[in-house]
Amino acid sequence: MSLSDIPVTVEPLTHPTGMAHALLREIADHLAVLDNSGTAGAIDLSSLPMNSADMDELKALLGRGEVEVGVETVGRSEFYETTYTGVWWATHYGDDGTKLTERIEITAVPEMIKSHPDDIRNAHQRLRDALSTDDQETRQ
Amino acid sequence: MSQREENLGQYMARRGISRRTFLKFCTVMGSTMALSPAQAAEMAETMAKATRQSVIWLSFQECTGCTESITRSHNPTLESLIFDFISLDYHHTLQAAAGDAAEHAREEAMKKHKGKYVVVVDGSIPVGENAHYSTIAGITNEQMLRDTARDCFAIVTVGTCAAFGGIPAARPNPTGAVAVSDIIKDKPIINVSGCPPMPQVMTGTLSHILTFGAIPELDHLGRPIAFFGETIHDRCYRRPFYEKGQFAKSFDDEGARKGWCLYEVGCKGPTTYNACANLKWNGADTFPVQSGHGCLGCSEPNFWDQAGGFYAPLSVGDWGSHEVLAGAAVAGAAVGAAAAVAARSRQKSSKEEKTS
Repeated sequence: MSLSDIPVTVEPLTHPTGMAHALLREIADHLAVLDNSGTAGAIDLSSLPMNSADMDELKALLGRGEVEVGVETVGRSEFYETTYTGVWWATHYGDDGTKLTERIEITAVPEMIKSHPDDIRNAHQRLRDALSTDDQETRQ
Repeated sequence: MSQREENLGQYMARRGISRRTFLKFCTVMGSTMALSPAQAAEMAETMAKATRQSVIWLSFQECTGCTESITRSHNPTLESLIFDFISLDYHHTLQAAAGDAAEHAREEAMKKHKGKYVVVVDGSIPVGENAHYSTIAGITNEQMLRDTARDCFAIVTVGTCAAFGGIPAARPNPTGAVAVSDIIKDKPIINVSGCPPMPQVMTGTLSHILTFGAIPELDHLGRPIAFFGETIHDRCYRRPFYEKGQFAKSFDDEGARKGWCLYEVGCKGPTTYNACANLKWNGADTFPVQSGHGCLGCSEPNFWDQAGGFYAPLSVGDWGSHEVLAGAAVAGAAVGAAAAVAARSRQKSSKEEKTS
């Protein structure tokens, strides 16, 4: 008997439970806050009891917008803006490709896409150092 | 500026760890800890401004499985980042120093970070006239724990040995081993039990202390509720079989092949609080029940000595009546309800204890 003969499997529900529609209302509330005060919000999809049909339905309801961004750090992170501007779908993977967490971020630009001021300062210093080295080599 | 005085943000810059990497760590940890999703960025900013948390890791009567669990986790690049974010000033297994130099590092960290350092303990401790069974640099484990705990901020026990005595304390307990909480009574103790504990739970608990400078909410056994708030049974994908009274009677019968509930072959899921069924092991692929073996209950006190052993169904000791067990196969739904009630009443009693 091979491993594939052991019928220990998780059988996912194949129909949506309505969770996606409930989440749309929560997303709308977050979007109102973003619109009125500029305060960003987020929903952690990993912690919600959603089956794969719910996830597919939510993705279909939100659609895909104009922007897609990939970030490579300790594995890949993928962001895309949905057809609702300011509503982003974020998926984070480990460096082995395992999905670690999935979120809806309601914001103008997800924090992880932005360059942090400290990193900009360090980049500036590194570039100055590189130019200084370059100047020295040119003089020689 | 000395490296000792720099904050975590400056340390990361020096090591070439970008803020994006750090934010990803906080996002994943925040999700694991069930923090508000919007808190990840705030968590990252707070941690970056803090001085790296000094941690003194004491290994006593243990097998090194707990250290293995965290250093060989399936997402080592992400989860082992915690070792960059803390200042691990003493750890027998991981440090290069040995002998007097190692003990000197521990004493220096205690002096420099008096009242602020965190002590991590894995392994149980032989005490009293048995204390000499386990010594480090001529110092008994008991004395080293008492000395190191005196000026700490909090203690995190990793593994069931340090939390509850574990296997060294199992009958006949030849070394007279006890848990940390049997010795230290005047410091906050966070029990991260499991044999071994889940790497995400160890990392998440340390991250909580780093971020908030406070102890996470604990259950009646001192375990973080974010990870130990539900039983394995609560989140088990085989639960529907239990509710329908469909049980494997042996490990090779038709029920086992069909993936039915493992209650009757000894699964301790209904009385075991841990996050294995939802966080899972080996890169979130599986956990013992999914691999065909019942839960051993390794995150609970006295799991090695439980009545009947690992392969006897939960019975007299936990359910109060052998008749309940005898009827389980024919009245699975009723037992399912009983399990749910038992689990809820236990959580309730935990809350009542906290508020009383």
